Parts: sequence; C-alpha cells; structure tokens
Amino acid sequence: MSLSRRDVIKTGVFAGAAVALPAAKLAGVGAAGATPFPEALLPKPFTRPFSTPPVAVPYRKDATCDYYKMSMQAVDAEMIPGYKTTLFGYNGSVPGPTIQATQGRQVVVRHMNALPAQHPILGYTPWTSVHLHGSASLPQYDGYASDVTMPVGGTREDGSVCTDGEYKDYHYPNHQQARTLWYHDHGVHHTAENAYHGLAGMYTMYDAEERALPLPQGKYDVPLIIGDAMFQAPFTDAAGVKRAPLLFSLDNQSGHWGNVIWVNGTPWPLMKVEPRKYRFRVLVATISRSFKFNFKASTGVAVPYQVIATDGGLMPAPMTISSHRQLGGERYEIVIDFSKFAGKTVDMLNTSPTNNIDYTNTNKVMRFQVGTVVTDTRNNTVPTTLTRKRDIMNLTEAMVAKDATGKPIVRTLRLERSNGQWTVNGTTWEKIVASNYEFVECTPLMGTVEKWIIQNNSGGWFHPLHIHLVDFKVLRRNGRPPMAHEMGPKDVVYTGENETIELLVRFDSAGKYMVHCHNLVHEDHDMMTQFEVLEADGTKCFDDPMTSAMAKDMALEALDVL
Amino acid sequence: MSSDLTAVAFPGRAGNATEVAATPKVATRTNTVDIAILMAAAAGLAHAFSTPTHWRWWQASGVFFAVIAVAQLGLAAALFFHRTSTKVVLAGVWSNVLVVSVYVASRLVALPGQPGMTAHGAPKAPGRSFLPAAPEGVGAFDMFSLVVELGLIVLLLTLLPSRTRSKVTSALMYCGIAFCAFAVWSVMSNGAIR
Ligand SMILES: [Cu+2]
Repeated sequence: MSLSRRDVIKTGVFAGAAVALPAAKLAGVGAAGATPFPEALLPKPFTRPFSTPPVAVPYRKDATCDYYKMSMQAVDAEMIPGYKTTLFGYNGSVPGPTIQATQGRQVVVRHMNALPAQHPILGYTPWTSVHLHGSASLPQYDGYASDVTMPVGGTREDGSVCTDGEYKDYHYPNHQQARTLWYHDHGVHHTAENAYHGLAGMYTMYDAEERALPLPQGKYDVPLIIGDAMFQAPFTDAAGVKRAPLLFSLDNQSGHWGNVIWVNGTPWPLMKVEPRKYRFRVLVATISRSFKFNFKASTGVAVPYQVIATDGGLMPAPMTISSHRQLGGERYEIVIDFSKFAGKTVDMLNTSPTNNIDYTNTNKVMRFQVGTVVTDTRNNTVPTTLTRKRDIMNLTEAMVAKDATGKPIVRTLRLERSNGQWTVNGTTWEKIVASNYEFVECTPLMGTVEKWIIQNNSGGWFHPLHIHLVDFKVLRRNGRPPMAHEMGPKDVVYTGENETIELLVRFDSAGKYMVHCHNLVHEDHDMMTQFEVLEADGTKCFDDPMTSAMAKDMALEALDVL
Repeated sequence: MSSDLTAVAFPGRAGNATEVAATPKVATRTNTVDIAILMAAAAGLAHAFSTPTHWRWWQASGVFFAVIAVAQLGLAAALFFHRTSTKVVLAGVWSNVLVVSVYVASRLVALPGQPGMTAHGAPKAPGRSFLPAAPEGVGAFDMFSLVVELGLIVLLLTLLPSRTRSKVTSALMYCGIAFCAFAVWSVMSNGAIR
C-alpha cells in the first residue's frame, strides 16, 4: 500500500530533520578533513610581510659565557589578522628569540616555566623540558623528556600538584663547529602540544672558519622557521575580542597536519629581497608534516639553489639542486641567487611527499619579491670547497669499531607500529620509565664509531629519526648513495616509506641520550628509547639526565644568581 | 528472494484478504517486504560491524550497538519468516526511530556519560591532554546507515493499516520538529561548536 500525500509530508519532516542536521554539521565544522576556521578568512598567500624572530639579548655576560633568562608563557598572538590566538612563547615570542652563539663561548639559559597550570582547551599540564637540538650537551642539560620543569599549580604525572612552579638552568658548551641549532620543548607526553603552541626557536652558532668564508652574512643570512597550523572556528569572547584558538587534533594517531603554512610565525609571508645571493637557514619545525621544497620564478622557470650546510653545519662542498625533501627537526642552509630575477618574484613551493594531509594552500610556503638595487655586494659567493674539517664526513665503514668476536658493531633500529603503539625496536618510553630510566637500547663506547641501520618497513608513514648527542653521516639509503642534500653532518634522517638507512655514528661524549621519532605525535606516544655512551674504559658516565641538575623551586629563583 | 518463496509467503504476509486479490499489488507488496528485509539486515550488520570499536571507546555504546544489531537482524528475520503483523511492524518502526533519534542527538551533543578524548589513544593520566566529551563527527558510514534506516521506516509504514499509519506519521512529524528544536537548543547552549 502506498503512502498518502499527507503521510509523505509528515514522514518527510522526520526524515528531513534526521538527515539535514548531521549533514549541516558535516558541511560546516568538526568533521575529519574539514577546516573549522573558514578558509576565506585566512590571509591570502604571499600578502603578509615577512619578519624574523627577535635576537635574544643576554641577561649578563662574563669572560667565557653569555647568560639568558627565558620565561615560557602564554601569549595572545595574531597569526591571522584580526584574530587573537593563544600560543606559548619563550619570552612571549613565537617562534622564540634567536640565540646567537660563538664556538668556544658558553651559554647558560635559565628557562622558567610561567605557563598556565592547565592548557585552556586541551586540559594538559604544560610541564616542559628544553632540548637544544644539535648540541652535544651534557645529559642533564639535554632536555631529557622525563626531566620536567613544572608550572605553578600544575599536576604532575603522579597526581601531585606543584605549588610554586619551577625553573632550570641549561648549560651549553658550544664546543662544536658552526651550525644551525634549535631549541624546543621535549616534555614527556606532550612535546607535540607544547611545540605546536610555539615553544621552539633558533640557535645559531658561528665559528672562525665559517665566518671567514665569503658566504652571505648579516642581513643576507636569514632564518626560515617553517611550521603548520590549524585553527578552530572563530568567536568573540566576553571582552569583545575576536578569537581563533589553535586546533590540535587528538584523534589522529598518525600525527597532526595544519592547513596554514607559516614562516617565522607569519602565514605564507612575502619577503623583499635584493637581486643577489641570500643564505637561508631552513628549519622545519612542524609536528608531523614533511615538505618537498622547490623554487619557481614569476617568469615560470625553476630556480636552482645550493645546499651549503646540513643539521651539523657546513657540508664538504655545496650541492646544487632544484628540490629537496625535509621533515620535522631537519635544518638545511641553502643559498639562492636572486640576481637574475630583479623586479620579479620567486615562490618557495611544496610538492608534498606521500603520507601528508594536504589542504588548499599547503603547496605554498612563501614569496620573495626581488628588488632592483643591491646595497652590499660583499660576501656574495659560494666557494666550491666549504670545509675539510668535518671529521664526521671523513668517516668510512673501515673505522667502525669491532666487537669481542672481531665483527664490526652494527645496530638496527626498527621504527614500527605494534599493538597500537609507535615503537623503536618494540620499545616505548613507558619501558624506560618503568625501568627507572635504566633500560638502554645499546651501550656504545666513547670515542668509537658504529654503524646504525634505521628501518621503516611500512608504506603507510615516514619517520624523522633523531639521535641526540651525535652528528652522523648518511652512508646509504636503500643500498644507494644518500641524496645530494644529505651529504653533510646530520642528526635527523628522513626515514621514508619502506626505506632502510645506513648511518655512521661517532660517540664523542658519554651519558644517556634519547633516540626518537621527530614526528612529535609519534614521539609522545611513545616512539622513543635511549642509548648510553660509556666512558672509553667501559664505566658509566657520572652525569645523569634525571638527577644531576633537577629543576628548582621558583620561589628560590630571585636568590639564585645567574 | 526467490519467487516460489514469495508465493508460499504470500498469505501470511498480506494478512488482508482484499489486498491479496490483484497480482500486481502482490508483486509490489512482496518487493516492499523483501527490500525491508535487506535494509534491516544491512543496518543490523552495519551496527554489528561497529560494535567492537564502540565497545572499546565507551562500553555503554558498545552494548547499545550490539542490542541494535540484534534487534535489526531480528526484524529482518521476523519479516523473512512472514511476521508482518501490525505489532511487529510497529516495533520495527519505533525501534528504528529510537536509533535515528539517538544518532541525531549524538551528533548534536555529548551524550550523558560519554567519555572525553585522550591524546592519540593514550591512556588517561594526570597532566596529560584530555578533551571533555564532544558531539561525535559525521561520517560516510554512519550517514549510509541513517539513510538505510529511514528507508526501512518508510517501507515499514507502507505495511501498516492506513489509520495506524496516519497516527504514526503524525508522531514522526512531531519527532522531526523536536529534532529541530533540540538542534537549536544545542547550538545555543554549546556556543562555538568544537
Ligand atoms: Cu614517527
């Protein structure tokens, strides 16, 4: 029997409401892949002026050391013009102020946790641990994940509450060669959240050898800290301020990808440059996203560029390339020659590697508007030889230490997902915590060279594998030579889908150090383990990451001379 | 459904001598029941399929899904074995209306007792990221089940005597209006949707 017209209408009201309400939500906000903040309200790519983070000013200096004070605090930033977004910044700056260091001169940074007791949306306690990525710091100053510094009123993992808040002094030796380092949060279980909210900054180290080269310097030596972000639906708060909080997805176990690409905190900026060579220190500070960069001029031609330095500093020789892939934690210093593009524009673009989540404008990074006048022609050359002093690059397989049976020492790290968790060789950080920080993956001897093999047997994801303490040389990728841009000292390696990477690693100081995935969501849950470098005579290092320099009570800070 | 089964099934399904007389109507009638069986079975299987993940997320929702799956598969079986009495059909209609109502509510508000979200599936622990319970997202699979259930409700309505049907469709209309009122209330009380 068919329905009467009246029945059809009445049933239609029911069915229509049942379908339309969820469908409206699907079209509007909240669903996977949707962007709650309307894309039309985002700044148009290449319209916002480029800027660089402020340079940090020492609190005090003496004959051998620069002292800095950094307060980690919540800050209302305006990443999207007209909308306030609450971020976490070092001294209120996102990215943090750039620390400039010179080889041979030490740096001490007092990091004070003045963050709120709880993240206003995500509800977590923003305890911190600051890692200086690229520095061979002592274990207790390396930003060991579980060596945390608490905010006032924050709840610790054991459920206790920190009444006064804490600070910690980090000592950096700066005995290594010139390089681009970066400092960022490494607090256990929410490194991703903290770094995503802005706790990251650059740290450049110079040395005499590098300063003597005719490479671009000063205003022609520019940091490009690149990240991504996603924003929640905008609203007006009780004080009448328009707000767009950051959106951090907790449900995607593979990572977190934003639809806004920012450089030094500005979405898709426009930078005015002179028609000459520039040196850019490109740091990818994303939580999960990887990039494949290329440069294209408004004339339609691809713009080649030279890679001059990798994570650990200068390469033996510059490499001229037309694109390179780069992921979280990696630094490449590149030189672009704008001299042929006076009056034109050059775009930095991204052809996203596989297993990223892409949105409308994630294929764009920034634009260079090339002027017609060069104000300084000095330091405008890339020499054909950059350095011969990087011992790491002179390592060969013959130098690999032998075990008791006379076989070369080869260690394999399998990056894998097992039982719903991200693991290194089946190990998660929980295992290290449960062992009272005693469990170690391996115990290399100080002063020796080992071969490490990094394996990713999955086609479903890539991992940025970071080994603390050391510089390493990429020996082979899937049995073949490394890519041109990787032919310099490294501390993070792109471990792509179904890739096996062979590294030569030298251990120049002793202690317990972390090795982990730099997809920070993987790292937090819980793709991180540790190794312990023993003294040359096989004894344990005296310095301990958890106990040798613990965070102190904030009530004592004023009395504690820095 | 095979045609001989239809022939055998015929008297029981019709339950009304006047309607069985004309052959074309019989064909229509039979197809309606057959499609209803398929739809009830599809909806039941969809809920059965989703039961384990719901159980892991929130045990109460797992139980609810299992009960729905059993009920919908039971309805399919009842129809298959020629139980098309008004009682059975009404039970089918109202149980599916209940499922649809819970679905709509779950997409507009967090249900009472619904757990919040921990970071990337990590266990809940002091100091870690944790979002309070929020309305569930809308996906292709659940929209598919919803459409199947709505279709099933319409088909079941055609099996009812016209007076009963008229009363039921009136009640459905009020349900639809209630959905809209609930949606307005939820948006106003939630403020910005997360
Ligand atoms: Cu990873």
